[in-house]
Order: sequence, then structure tokens, then C-alpha cells
Amino acid sequence: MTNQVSSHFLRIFITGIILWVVIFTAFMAFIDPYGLWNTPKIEHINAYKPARANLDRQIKPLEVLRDQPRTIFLGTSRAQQGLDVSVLDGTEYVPAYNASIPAGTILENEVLLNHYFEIDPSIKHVVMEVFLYQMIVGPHSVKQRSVWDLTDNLMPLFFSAGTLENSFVTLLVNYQGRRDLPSIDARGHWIPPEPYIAAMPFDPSAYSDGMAEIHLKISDLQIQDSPLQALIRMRDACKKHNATFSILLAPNHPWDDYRLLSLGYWSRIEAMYRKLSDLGNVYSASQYNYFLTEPTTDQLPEGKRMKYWYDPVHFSPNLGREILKAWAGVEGDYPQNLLIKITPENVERVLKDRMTGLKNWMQENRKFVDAFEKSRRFYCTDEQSCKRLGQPKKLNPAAMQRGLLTGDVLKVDGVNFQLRGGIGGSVESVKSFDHILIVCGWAIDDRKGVRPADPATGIAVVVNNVVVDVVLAHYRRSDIETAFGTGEHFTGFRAAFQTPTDQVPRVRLFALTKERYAVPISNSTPVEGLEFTQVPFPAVLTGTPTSPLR
Amino acid sequence: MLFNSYIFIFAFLPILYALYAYVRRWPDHRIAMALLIAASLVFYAWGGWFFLQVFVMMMAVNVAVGQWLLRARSGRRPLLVFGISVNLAVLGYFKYAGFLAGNLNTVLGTNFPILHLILPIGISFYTFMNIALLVDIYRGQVKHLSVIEYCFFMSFFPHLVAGPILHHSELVPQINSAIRRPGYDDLCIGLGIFCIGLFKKIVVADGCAVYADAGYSMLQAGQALDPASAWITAIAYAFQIYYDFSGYSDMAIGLARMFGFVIPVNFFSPYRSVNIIEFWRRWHITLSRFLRDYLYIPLGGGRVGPLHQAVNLVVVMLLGGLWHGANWTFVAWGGVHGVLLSVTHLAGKTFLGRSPLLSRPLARAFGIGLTFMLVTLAWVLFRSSSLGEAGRMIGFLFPLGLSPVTVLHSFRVFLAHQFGNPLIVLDPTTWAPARELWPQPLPPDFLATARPVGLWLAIVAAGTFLLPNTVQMFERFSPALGLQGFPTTSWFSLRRLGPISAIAIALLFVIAVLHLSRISPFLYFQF
Repeated sequence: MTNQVSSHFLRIFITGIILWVVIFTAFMAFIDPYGLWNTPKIEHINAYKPARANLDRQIKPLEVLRDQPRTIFLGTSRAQQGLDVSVLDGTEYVPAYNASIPAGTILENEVLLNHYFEIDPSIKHVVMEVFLYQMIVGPHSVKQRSVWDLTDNLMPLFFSAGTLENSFVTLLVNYQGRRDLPSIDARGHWIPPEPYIAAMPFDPSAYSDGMAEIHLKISDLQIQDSPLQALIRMRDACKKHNATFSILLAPNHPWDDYRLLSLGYWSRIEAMYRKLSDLGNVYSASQYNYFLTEPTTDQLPEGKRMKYWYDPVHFSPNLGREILKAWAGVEGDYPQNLLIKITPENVERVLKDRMTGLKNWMQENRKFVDAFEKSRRFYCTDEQSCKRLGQPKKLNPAAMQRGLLTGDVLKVDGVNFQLRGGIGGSVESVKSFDHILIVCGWAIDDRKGVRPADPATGIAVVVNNVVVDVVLAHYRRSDIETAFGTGEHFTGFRAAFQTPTDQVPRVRLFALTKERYAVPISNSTPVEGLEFTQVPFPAVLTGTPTSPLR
Repeated sequence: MLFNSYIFIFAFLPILYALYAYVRRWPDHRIAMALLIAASLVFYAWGGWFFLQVFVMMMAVNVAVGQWLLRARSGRRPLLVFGISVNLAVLGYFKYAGFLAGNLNTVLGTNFPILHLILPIGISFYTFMNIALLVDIYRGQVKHLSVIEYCFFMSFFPHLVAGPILHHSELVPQINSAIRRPGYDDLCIGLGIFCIGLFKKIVVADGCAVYADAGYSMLQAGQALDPASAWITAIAYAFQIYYDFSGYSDMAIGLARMFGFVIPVNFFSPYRSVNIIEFWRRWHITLSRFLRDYLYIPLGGGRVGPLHQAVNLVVVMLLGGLWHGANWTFVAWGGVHGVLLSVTHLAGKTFLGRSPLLSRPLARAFGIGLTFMLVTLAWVLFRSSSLGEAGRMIGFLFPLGLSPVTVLHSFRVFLAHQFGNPLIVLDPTTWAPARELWPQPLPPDFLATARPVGLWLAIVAAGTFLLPNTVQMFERFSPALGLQGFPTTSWFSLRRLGPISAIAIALLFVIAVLHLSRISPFLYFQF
């Protein structure tokens, strides 16, 4: 030891480490950004926990271990968003916990259930949410979990820079009184941001196009045996642990019912019901009633939100709470047919009633039905695509002209837009199905070059100087919002259009602005087998008369 | 095993140190050495038993050849050539066989199978150490080689996987005194240096990696980058690789010191170099030394004509580039540095080299800026997965088809977004979470507008260019070998390791540990 190094250095160093660990841990535990410490929630400090969202797979097993629920709900994002289990308070089912995870398959939920039985011997009731798409997922590998797997996430969740940063963020957003990020309730269900803008809004055209596009890639939907076997094993595991096992066939919105009917997949719904009806406690919540047939957003006054649905595939807790009341036998203001226990004896009647309900709904909702049928016809271009879309009639592309590009002027629906350089947006993916192009990207009005940028009033699609389509940006892009400070308006767009069959088309996209300018949308993505005009970013920025835009 | 892992920091190191503190008191110092060798082999074997087998085999071959060289009275040169050949053959097999086969197949149309071998960790480093040892024995600079000392020299875990590239004469003579002297000071000094290195690696280098990786991911996905975003990517990578490797070297120096050993400095603020020659005196110093002593000088060094010297420099740097990896990008990187070194040497021999103006602060600042820029541009070759990718990146950095107004607009957007409103810039809720930076499609100016990249790079740049480096901070404690000729600092260097420094270093350690929750391998492990 020399006088260069204090004899206390090591002791103070170790004490210092302990001190800093205690300080950081105390702060993280006090703010408790993920709700794991169960510290008191104080308004304007830590009551709102947006950092907890998107961590269900890491956190929910720990919360089950901590809370030791008696009733547990498993499933997908539908159950995660819609089932607020606090409605069960005061019943025999408490403590109840919503352990659903977004995009959770039945096999993954089976692994989790076994894990939960291992860490929570008090489980007495298990409810598994099931819908058609879980039943068509074939065998896949899911890593088995043990108690030791719980330790994997302990350091990242309890003592990490990410948690420290999230503690600061939590403190800040609470201090600012913000609620503009989604969060997860302590009982496990999703809480939407305010104001909530659905990722998949009730836009008949967008929904229909999106679904048609998805189905072009799917040769067939078939009910698989492996999810059914997993459900049987889950039922047996519950029996082994003296717990009840229920299957909840979560509500299907009529839009989705109509899609399946139109595309020829109704028989899959019927097959699923029939197969599951043998399993015991199977409950259907897809009967037609005023919850299911609630007028959709496009039918409501602007700014008014639906009460029972977040979007066409996710029901809201307003509906979920009624379903839970019906399941638990609690009285409530819900229709008689909200929840029906499916048995081999009543399954045919339930299916028949559902079909009748759907047909009645179709009569009253021609706008959606027409939009969906238009999409089917639009995407039906050859034998295979028509087969996958249920053999609709083909559409005449000549009927789709919206305007012309002449010189520096783009005429759209009779309105002239002057061509200008600048950042209009970017094409990020281009897919072609025979003579249909599906283009996704983002668009803004950045002519002023200030932040936040303005929204584009539309996106014009020009094929060989003919405006074939004008679409609106219809979904939010957090990255574009971060980059351009665009606030809460939509910047993401998706345009689908047909291209001529007799020549190689020249395709260009323009962002339309309030000041009647048309700003080119860049595209540096090569498209195989197609002359989709390449507009690299630098050229977009200059936009000079000699640029490749012209 | 990584230095930046829980297992190393909280299990391996404390247990080993406790055992070492116990056995170093024993009369026979070979027991302490044996402990360190055994622990080092465990440390190395953590990466895979196969790696250990290769390493032990190479040690056996080299110690045999070395002892043979020491005893031989004739035929020493063929023996040396044999030893070097074996080392290069093993390195070549693991590192370059696939590369060579691929190029031969392309050029000659042959059909050699392309081997995708797993590269044993640290093989490039220990191969050079072995070659240096054999040459030193041949030259008579090493006169004694005991098996246990050799094993300790080769396997000592602080330098084992990523250097510094040590000479036998630097480590082995310290063995007795390092084990015998009281260890408290060494432990405290070593801990301090280790913690700073850990912070540099985990917090600074990995913090820069987020942005560098995002930019290069966009490039690899075929997306465009605006000029500001391209420069952010390039500069973030320049800082990432520096803090990654110098952080590792600091940890190595600190760890060695904890056990009583002082090893050579490997980095000395290279980005503060006024020209590329100085850069290579400060960057990866032990590699530069190896290339100089065992390649450049045997080729003629500076004793030949200017043109010959320039050719030698390019050849040495091309090989130095190839040492970093089996890819033409590394060769090109080495070539660029070779050309820059040659040009700088040639310029130094003209009136420019004698001009007193060059020592003026403004000229020095210009030189530092220019050198940093050139080095940063050369890193584009180093980081890119192919020459084509590097070319595209250079195209985004220097968009020749773009008007100056447009380029300026790009940087104006960057400045406005990153520094325009301090309240927004400092608000973490406006920061783009690291995980969301890539790989999804992003707008070309995303990096330029994704906060807090501007703030982050400004802080890192300030630290790089204004703060003293780790060995300067510890200069009063003789932290490393080879510090002669480097500037000392009078400010910010620790006078004494007392309570304040203990608390500050503890804070750096805890912040680093907070960042440990994701594993990030050292970049230099791949070389």
C-alpha cells in the first residue's frame, strides 16, 4: 500500500457500488415502470405505466408468480385487449388475472398453462380464448418453460439501463399528465392510448383490400389437429390440477364473418364449432346481438368511437366485461344470447342462428358488402387468384381513370396539381400479383420544410400518365411521426391498382398537398420484372425539370 | 467468456482473485502461475472446447519449436521458417481458406469447396504473439523459455482473446515481482482502469452501435440515406469501433494490473492525431508495432527510397487489413491506409513537413479534423459487408448528383431536429427506442431526425476530443508499458485513488452493469 492509493479505497469502492445500486434500485422500485414491485400508484408520478406495454411474454409469468391468481385467462390479443377481469371481483373467481399474450398460439398457451400450474398451485379456473386462426396453425415448436426461465428476465426487468430509462419516461409522462401511449392494467388487460386510433380502423375499403391481399397468399384454410390436441391436453392438465377448463370462442365481428362467408370459408367456422363442442365447457360469444352489430365507425358521426369494438378483430372491455359477467353467472345488462355454452346437442342450432344473424346484418350493411365484393373482384386477375377469392367476377380497369398527368400538371378528379420537388414520402414495398401492384409506404406534405410536417391530402397513383387511383394515408407510423413530427395524423398508405397488360407500365406516385402541389414519392426499391419508376431520394429532393421524375 | 458478462464480473473474476490472493503468498510462485494458467484456459474454453484444443495444440507446437530454436546451433533459419509457416498455415486454414477458395472459384472458374469454419477466438492475436516470440528467439532477444512461463505468457486471460499483442520480454520478467509484491495497490488501480474500460465498452460503444447498425441495416436493406443520416452512420461507427476496442484494451490493462502485471498500452487517443502517421502510432499500438518490427523493417522500412518506402507501406497495410478479416473490404481498408501513410510520409519530406505553421493550434486542429474524417471514411470499407455496399455508402456520404442546397437542407433538418428545441431534445419520451430503429423500412432521413443521436454523438465527440484517455487519467500510477513519447496531462489525471475517485468509479461500474442486460460481443473477437 502506498500513499497514492488510499487504504480505504477498496472499502469505499464496494460501499459506493452498494450505495449506487440501492439508489438506482430504490428509484426504479418507486417509479415501478412495469408494475412489478407493486409500489403504490401515485397520480402524476407513476400511476400510468406505458413502458409496461409489449412486455407481456416477459412480465405475465412473473405477475402470475407474484399474484397467485385463482382464475387465469389465456389467449391472444383479442382476450388481452377485451377481457377486464376486475368485473369478476366479488365472485368465487378472484383473484383473476388476464394472462393472454398477443399472437399467442394454442401450443404456446399450453406451455404457459403448464408453467403457471408449476408456479401457481392456487389456480382453480382456466379460460382459454380461441378463434378460427388459432385452429388453422399447424404443429410448431414451442420451448418448454421451467421455473428457472423466470430468472431470464429478472435483470433486464429489475436492474437495467432500459428499466432506469423507462422509469424516467414513466415519471415524465405522468408528470405531464399524458395518456397517449398504450399500457397494460395490473390485471393484465390492454389499455388503449388516448386518443385511440386503431391500427386497423373500420374502413370498409382498407379492410377489404387488406383481407383480399392476405387471402391471395393463402391457398386454403384448414382446421388442424394439433391445436385441438393441445386444447385436449390443456383440459386434462386442468383436471389433473383440480381446475376447471373453459374455452371461450371470442366474438367475431360481422365484417369478419362476412369475409369468411364470401371467400367460402364458412364451413371452417362450422367445423371448428363441431369439433370443439365435444370438449366440455365451450362458450360461444359470436351470436348476433346489439353488441356484435354495433354500427361501425364509418357509420357514426366523425370523432365518435365505437363502444364495443376497437377494430374489426378486437372487441373492447365494454363487451368483454359483459361476456365475463355472463360466464361467471353475474347479472348484467346483456342479451340472453351473449354467451352460449356449446354442446353436441345445440351446436347446429347455434350455427344456424349465427348464419341467420349474418344474413340479416348483410341486408342492413350493403356499403361494407359492396366494398368487400369490389375488392374481391379487383384482386381477381387470373385463375389462381380468383379461386382463392371465391371466384368473383373480374373488374374492368378502364373504369378506374381519375385524371391525367400533362406536362407539369397533374389533374386529379378535375383539380389541377402543380408538380414540385421535395420530400413527398417513400415507397417501401411493392408487390405485384400478375397485373396488380400493391404499393406501401408513407407520404407527407413537407413543402414548407418545417416540423411538424403537414399531412398529404392524398396519394395519386399515375400509370403511364393516367391517374388510376387516389388513396388516403390511413394508418399511423410512429417512425415517421418521430422523424417529421407529424403528430397524430396518418402517414402510412397502401395503394393497390391494376396495370395495363399490353405494355410495360411506368408507375409514379405523388403526394398531393393542400396548396395544390404534387410532390413525387421516392422509390429506390427495385421491382423485379417491372419498370416501376426508380426515383432515388436525392432526385426527389432536387426535383428539377431534368430529374428522372419527368 | 466475455469481460462484459455477469459470469465474468460476478463469478470468474472475484473467485479467481480470491484464490490468487491466497496462493500468491505461497513460497513457490509457480503455483500462482499455474492457477492463472488454469483459470485462463477455463476462461478460453468457455467459448468452446474445440477452440481450446486448437489453442493448446498451437502452444505445444510453438514451445517445442521455440526450445528447439534456443538449443539449435545450426539450421535455425529453416526452423524459424517452419515455425512461422505452421502458425500462418493454421491461421490461414481457419481464417482464409474459404475466402481463397471463393476467389479462386470466381477468377479461375474452379470448384473448390468453400469451407465455413468457425474461427477460433483470438487466433489472429495469439498467432502473431507466437510468431513474434519465435523471431525474438531467433534474433537472440529471448534467451530462456520455460514451459510454464510460456504457457502463462500465451494464455494469460486479460490479453488472450483480443490483445494487446505482447512480447515475451514484456510479461515474463514481471512474473516474480508481480506475484510477490503486495497486491492492494495493483488491485485498486486495476479495478479503476477496468471499470472505465467496461463503461467505455458497454455504455459508449454499444450506445453508438445502435445508430451505426441502424444506418448499415438500412443500407443492406436497399434503402436510401440522406447525407446527414449517412454521416451519422459513419461517425457513429467510428466512435463505436474506437470505444469498443479501446474499452476492451482498458479492461485488459486493468485486469492484468489487478494481478500485478503491467501490459502495453494499445490506444492513446488516436482520434486526436494530427496526421495518419500519428494515428497509427496511437491506434492498436501493439499491432502497429508488430507490423513495423516484423514486416515493415525487414522489407526495408524507412531506409529505402521514397517510392520503395511507399510500396512497403502499402504492402504492410494491405496485409494488416487482411489480418482483420477475410474480405476484400478489409484489404481495401488496409490499402487506403497504406496510401494515406505513403502520401503523408512523402509530404513530410517536402517543405510541408518542415513548415512551422503546422505546429500552430489552428493547423493542428485542422489536421485532427482531417485525420478523423479520413479515418472515418476508411471505416466505411471496414464496416461494409462488400465493396459494393461500401460504394453505396460513399455515394450517400457524397451525393454528387445532389445540389449543395439540398445537402445543406439535409444537415439543416438534422440540426433543427436534434438541437432546435432543448426541451424536446432532452425529453426521453421523444427518443426513438433503440429496438425500433431497425430493421423495418425507414425514411431516408430517419437517422438524422431520430433523437437523441445528435445529443449522443455530441457528448461522445466532446469526450473523445477533450477528455484525457484512461492511461492519462491513471498516468501517476504507471498504468501501462510503452507510454514514453505520448503527451501527459496535468488536469483530470488522478493524483490519488481516494474516496471521491472510489465513489465515481463505483458509479461508472454500476451504470455499466445496468447496461449489461443484453449481451453484446466485442467487435474485435471476429478478427
